[in-house]
Amino acid sequence: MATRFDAAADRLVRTSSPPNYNAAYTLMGWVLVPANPTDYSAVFCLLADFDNNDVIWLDGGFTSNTQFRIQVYTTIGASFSETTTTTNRDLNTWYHVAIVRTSVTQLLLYVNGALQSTHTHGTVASRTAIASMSVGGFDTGTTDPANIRVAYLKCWTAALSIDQIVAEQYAIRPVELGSLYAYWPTFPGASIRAEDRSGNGRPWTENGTLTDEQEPPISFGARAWVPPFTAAAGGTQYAQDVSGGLTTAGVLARLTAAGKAGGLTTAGALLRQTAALKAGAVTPAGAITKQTQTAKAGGLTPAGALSAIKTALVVLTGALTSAGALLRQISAPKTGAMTPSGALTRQTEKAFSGALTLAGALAGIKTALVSLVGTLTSAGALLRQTQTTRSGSLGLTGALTKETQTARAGGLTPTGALSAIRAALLSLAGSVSFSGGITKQTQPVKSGAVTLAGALVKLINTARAGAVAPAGTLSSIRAVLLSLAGTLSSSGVLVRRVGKDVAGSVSSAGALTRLINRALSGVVSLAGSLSALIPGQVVVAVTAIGSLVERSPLGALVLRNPLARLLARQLRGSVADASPKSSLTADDPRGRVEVL
Amino acid sequence: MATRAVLTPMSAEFPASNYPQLTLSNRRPVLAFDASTSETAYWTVIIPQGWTGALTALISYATASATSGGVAFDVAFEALTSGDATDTDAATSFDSVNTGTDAAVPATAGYMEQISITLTNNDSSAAADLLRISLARNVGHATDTATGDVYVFAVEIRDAA
Repeated sequence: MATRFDAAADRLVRTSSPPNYNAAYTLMGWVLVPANPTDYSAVFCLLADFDNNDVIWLDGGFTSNTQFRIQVYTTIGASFSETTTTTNRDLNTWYHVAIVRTSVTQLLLYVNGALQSTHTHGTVASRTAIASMSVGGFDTGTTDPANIRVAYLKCWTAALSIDQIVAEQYAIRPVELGSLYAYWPTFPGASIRAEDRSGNGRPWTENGTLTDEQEPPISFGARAWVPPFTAAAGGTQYAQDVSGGLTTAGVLARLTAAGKAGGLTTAGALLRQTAALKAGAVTPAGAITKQTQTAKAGGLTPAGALSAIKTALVVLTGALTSAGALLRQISAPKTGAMTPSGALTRQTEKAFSGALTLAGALAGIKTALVSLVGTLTSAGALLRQTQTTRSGSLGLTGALTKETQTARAGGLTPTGALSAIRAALLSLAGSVSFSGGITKQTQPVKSGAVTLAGALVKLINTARAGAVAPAGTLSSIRAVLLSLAGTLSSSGVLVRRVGKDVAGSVSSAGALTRLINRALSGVVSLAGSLSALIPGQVVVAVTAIGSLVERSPLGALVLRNPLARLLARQLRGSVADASPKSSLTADDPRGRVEVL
Repeated sequence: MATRAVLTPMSAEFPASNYPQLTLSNRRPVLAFDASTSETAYWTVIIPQGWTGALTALISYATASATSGGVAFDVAFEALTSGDATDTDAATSFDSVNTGTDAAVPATAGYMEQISITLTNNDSSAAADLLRISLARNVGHATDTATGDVYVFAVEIRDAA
């Protein structure tokens, strides 16, 4: 900005070591005259006193008061001399004005870089030494004030050439630094406008009340800064330690072994990172494509899908929330809740704690060992299970197709047929009820009642306790040893029996066709004849505690076989023929009834 | 993006009239753009090699007194290639201005903010061109409502390198 002088006392003065006005010097600045000067008006003044001085002044009294002239004069020991000009200057127009002492006898006046006046005078070699330098008036008082604006003042203790003056004209800063006495850029503000920016410490003193107004359009003279080089796109970045935050606006192409503290925010994709230790949150805007052996602390929230994450070991603390499907995971211990929105397709050796709730079907779950605590509810069929230990109830809606070595406690109620139950040993406690037939059973040990609705087809080595009541025919009973305790009631024909010991009474509704080695205890009551004894067969060992009685009116205890005989041993009762017409005879002469 | 030039008040050039004041704000050199008269400053550079892609101007500014309203700036390029038919001692050939605004100046005068302007109109600038950049406050823009001077601290020119 420019400094405004508009009062009699307004000055910029310097009284301390002013430049020697009797030797070479240059003093310049920009000047604007806003109003026609009506009296002598000193712009620049180097002065010892009224009789010894160099002055640039404004002459405005001779025109139509719309223009003025810039004049130069010298006073040497009260001897005044000047060189006038006829060049008129315009009001409110900036002019660059420079006064140059080229020798002890010459002053030059330049206006806008052009020589206007050459003032030759008597020698100043012995002139009284300078006392002050001022701008805006004749002296340090109120003599000959100028109504002007002044900007960008410079002073040298040398006589600059016209070329140098032209160069200085369009730069605020001094171009010529040699012999620079001072330069005052007149930046606005009290005392600031008076500052010497040369570094020589020669400021003005402000007199009166100075103000600031619009300066001339002059550049300071610096140059725009252009970087000497620019890194090519995709350059490689080498190991770099950064403390504090690191923000890259572009892609971070490669980083090896970089230790960072603080946050890392990348606007672009993070392409590759090896063995990078990070503290603080990492928030990539783009997808994470590959990561190896990364230890993370704090939350990890990828916005995109985790398309492929290979981790030898990933330890996560806190919650892990995946917006997309979790495709594969090996040996990952997790704490806290895990909630996949998609299907869980494969999992090996996973230990679960807490609740596991599946929205989709368990398509294939292979577990070497699965221990479940609490309730396991399957909405679909349970296809295969090996060596499963279950506690609590197991409710099946579908068929149980195969079961090997299953120990069951509590009730077992299959709704469907037990098509094949193989049990090397099947121990059942409590009752077993079948709605369908039992097709094969090997050595089942049953306790309690066994009630068959259908035929008992084959029974091998069956030990039965309690009553056995087959509703159908015992078509084939093979028993190496058949021990029955309690009553054996057969509604049908008892066809064959080998070696059967019967305890208790034996009642036969039909004929007893063959009896081999049967030991009867108790009463043998025959409703019909005792017949068809095998020829030569002796009914022996009839231990009859009771009577062998033929009760039929026409019946007879007849030994029809010629060689048959009835031996009654240990007969404590009688062998009597109760029938009036019956007899106890040996029909055949060779038969006989012997009472032993 | 790469910084291609940093334009400061000390390197500014001025037209004969309607130019911002070269002054100090807390001893920081600034260009003071008036609120009522559109004022222009220029800078001259040679476009460096590798100049490419989309160009951006980033203006760092603060208000002298305003705490509300907005500001608008125009940035224009004059890129002269060897042999161009521009009489540099008598004429200029700036491309159309690129306007950028800040609808809300800082709530505290003196707080610095930046306006980014995409330099779509860049006079087909290319490496090695003699480039003149003009900066002007668009006081006639509807967004430019902040009262008082706006101080410009610097202008950064970026390309896409």
